[in-house]
Amino acid sequence: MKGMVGNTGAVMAALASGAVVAFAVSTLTRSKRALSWVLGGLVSAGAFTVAIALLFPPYRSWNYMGLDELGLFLAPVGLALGIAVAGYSTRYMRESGGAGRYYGLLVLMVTGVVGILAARDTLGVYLYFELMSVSSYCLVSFRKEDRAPVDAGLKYVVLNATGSTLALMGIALSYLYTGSTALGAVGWAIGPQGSGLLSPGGLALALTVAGLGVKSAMVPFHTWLPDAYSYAPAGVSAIMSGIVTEMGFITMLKLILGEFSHPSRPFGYLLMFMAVITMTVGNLGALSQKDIKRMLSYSSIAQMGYMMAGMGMGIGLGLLDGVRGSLFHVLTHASMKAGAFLAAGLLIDALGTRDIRKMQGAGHRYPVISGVLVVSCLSLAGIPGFAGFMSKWWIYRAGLESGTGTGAFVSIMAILNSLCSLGYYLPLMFILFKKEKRAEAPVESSRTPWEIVPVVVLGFAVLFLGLYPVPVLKVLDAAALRTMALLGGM
Amino acid sequence: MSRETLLIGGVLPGFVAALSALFLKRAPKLTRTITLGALGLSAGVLGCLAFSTGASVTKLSYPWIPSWGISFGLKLDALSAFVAATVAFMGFVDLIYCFGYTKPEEVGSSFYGWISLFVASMIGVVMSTDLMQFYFLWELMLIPSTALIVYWGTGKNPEATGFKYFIITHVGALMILISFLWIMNATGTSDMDLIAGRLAALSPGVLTTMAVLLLGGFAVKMAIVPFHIWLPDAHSEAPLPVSVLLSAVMMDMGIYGMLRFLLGVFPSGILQSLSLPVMIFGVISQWYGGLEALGQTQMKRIAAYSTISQMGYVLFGIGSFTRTGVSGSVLHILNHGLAKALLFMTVGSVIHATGAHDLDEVGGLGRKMPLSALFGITAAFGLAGAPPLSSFHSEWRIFAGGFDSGRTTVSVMAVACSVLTAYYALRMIIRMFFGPGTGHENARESPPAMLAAMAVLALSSVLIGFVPRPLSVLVDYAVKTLGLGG
Repeated sequence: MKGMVGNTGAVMAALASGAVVAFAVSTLTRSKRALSWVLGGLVSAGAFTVAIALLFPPYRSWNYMGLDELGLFLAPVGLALGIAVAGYSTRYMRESGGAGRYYGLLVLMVTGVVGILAARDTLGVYLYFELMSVSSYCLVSFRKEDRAPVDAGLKYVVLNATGSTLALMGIALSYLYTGSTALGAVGWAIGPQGSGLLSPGGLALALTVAGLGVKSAMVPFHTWLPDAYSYAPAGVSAIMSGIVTEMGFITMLKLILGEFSHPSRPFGYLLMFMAVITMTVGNLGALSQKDIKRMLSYSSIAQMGYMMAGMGMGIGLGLLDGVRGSLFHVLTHASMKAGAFLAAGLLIDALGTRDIRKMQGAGHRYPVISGVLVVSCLSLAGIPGFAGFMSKWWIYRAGLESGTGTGAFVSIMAILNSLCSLGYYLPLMFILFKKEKRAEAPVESSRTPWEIVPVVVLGFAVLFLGLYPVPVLKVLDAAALRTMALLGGM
Repeated sequence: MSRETLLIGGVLPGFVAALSALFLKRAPKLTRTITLGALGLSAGVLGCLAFSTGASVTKLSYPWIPSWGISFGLKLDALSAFVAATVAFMGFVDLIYCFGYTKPEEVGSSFYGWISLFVASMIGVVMSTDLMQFYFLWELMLIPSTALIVYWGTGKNPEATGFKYFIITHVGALMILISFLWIMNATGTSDMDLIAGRLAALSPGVLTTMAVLLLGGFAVKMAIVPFHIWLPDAHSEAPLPVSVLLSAVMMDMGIYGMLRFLLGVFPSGILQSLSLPVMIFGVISQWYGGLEALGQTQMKRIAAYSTISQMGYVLFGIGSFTRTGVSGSVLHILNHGLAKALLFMTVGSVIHATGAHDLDEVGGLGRKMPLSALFGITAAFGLAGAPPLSSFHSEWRIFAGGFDSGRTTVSVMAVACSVLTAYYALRMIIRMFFGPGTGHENARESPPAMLAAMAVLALSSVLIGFVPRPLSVLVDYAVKTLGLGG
């Protein structure tokens, strides 16, 4: 099976060696904890930086990878988040040790992300997906000495492994009937022109959607997410929410678009339907949370719904704007949600509490962190001037543009959901900057610039994308057009 | 200097002052002075521009997100010049009042920063040339005002008030957003100068829906009944200088939006079909606000409810869709601002002197605070539209517009509300300043800064009342830009 794992080049080599070196170096220097985390962080951040550099000219010619325009848009997002998290995690590593494992797994997880984007056949996609998933299982339960992270990790593993198995069965089914694993070679048709949902093709579609729906936290397969995100180390929550969960969705898309020639209508409508449910359940779940990380976790479910809504409109109604909004939302969500998780992590450490009600006045003591958190929240709620609005704008617009009742309904539901999300973001923002400084007795901990810089950079990214997104639009439009081409050139 | 340069000079200072507040955390007094200077500069420049505008149009436009066809720019015609100058002027006067009313050490630099951002974003809204830009600045307005209500609010639970304010006005904004997205999809452009021509091709049903969405969205900002529920709490529990801005200035944004988008963009057939319902909503707001104001004893709440009532007047004028009525509503933007700011400031003087918020706790303050009493009376007569004062001209035009439109019954009801307005406004002033005293022996006349701000407003009101000509020329040009030149 030539090219099974895609034509991986220098990028993969850089990442793989980064993972090995980070693991080796940190493990060898285990006895000197400070040296261990410094080296681990530097090596993994270095590997991500090299990988990003290799994706852009003039170095791009060194490695022809299997990355298409979609990959060229999403891979840098994952890698950049990797750098941010590698820098941020140093704080956590200082206290807990195990830097070798942590950084090794982090690099492997991002390698999986890039690999999924690069892979050219179904099995390659699956293998990289599993690489990413297995690394994320370990990272979620990284604090194995505590009970809660292990429980959350267990729930996560069981549900996601089941999902992976279902997806694999879908892949196997398509191989069985067509003898090929190349994406785009299968060409099944479902719906009006093709066979029905009970055919092997229909079964493969259902298995893939359900299997990867678990990873992308599509309701009703979302139950693992709040536990996993809220007990994982903040850096891990950030990157999981920022790109790993999205990759579940992108993998679903890649497999389905690769296997079906006219997946358009039924799959698109299914996505739109699931999207509305997912965002509503996510937002309603977040409304009652008192734990800041749990609240952000539920909000991640809701935000996945927006991506599904945009993509569903693209596939079901043939709207380029929906695809554009959806892909853009992956980028904006990566910056705002990662920013929020990282800032929340710092606040939790500084105040010694995860309870939002006890964070009263924290903004006066930690203005920078709280500022980033507020900016991220405004962005997540879709207030203009912040990144989230720019991507949601296309999603809102696509549905209204379609001129169909379904599209308009999905758009209006998306708008109402944004409104609903203010129900939990606003109180958080109000509490943070409340006048009386009555925050809980602070657990003073020294802070290094390594932890603050990624948070501030993400905050600025949110503002920048919200006010002047022009620099990323060329790559975004290419990615959106490419995805539309996969849909059959609509 | 060219008009374009001046235009930037009118818009930018507020934003610069807001930014400087970020770096001057330790120097609230300096920030206050900078903000005053910035808003003064803005007001001066925009005022000069407004009176020299006439029928001319000054427009600046820069590409923003070219591949999405979105630009941002500044456009000055008679209408935007008039409203922007009003906003800057009121902001400036309000800041003078702040010099006496708030202590910089207590409120901190950020208070002034938020105020100047608030005013600057309102000026920006008025000057917008692009739907997207308009929406951005429209929502930007919400952030500083919410921050001011929540973090400096005086009520029992400022968070709840701020939450209600944010959510409800955001619902209005989302209605506007839906309509904007629809317009952009239907016309393929977000340039405000182009959409009017392209919308005419759409079917009346679609146009009516778009217009109703916009009407609803802007009515939320104007606090027209039944969208008024955010207003009484927000306006009465905000710190007083902010109440002034909310009541006397921010409401104008809703009026401006209605004028610019409904009258300026939609074909007259659509508007005529909406005329009667809009007028009825106007009259309901007039009466509802007035009656509620009569039932309140808290001074700030009376002033707040009075805003609902006054916005009813304005909506009634707009709803007549006649040249006279609309010109009255445009003029009322300034006149209501003058009277309402003056009323809030009088209330502020009483609160400042006595610490009492309730009418039952005050009385007979006129002997100790004669100037405040005089300004209070001016404000009350101003609201009621008594002849020598400026509001007379605008209210007269609004009612005349109502009769012009041929809807006599509604118009009579609207006129009758003037009596109610006069009653509740005078009742409040009389109970504050006349009658038996209720303690407060230490009450003293307000500091000079507060009196100066009030004097500026009262004198403007009298001056415009006697010499309405320059303003009414400007307003007539403004109405002409809306295609109602007749």
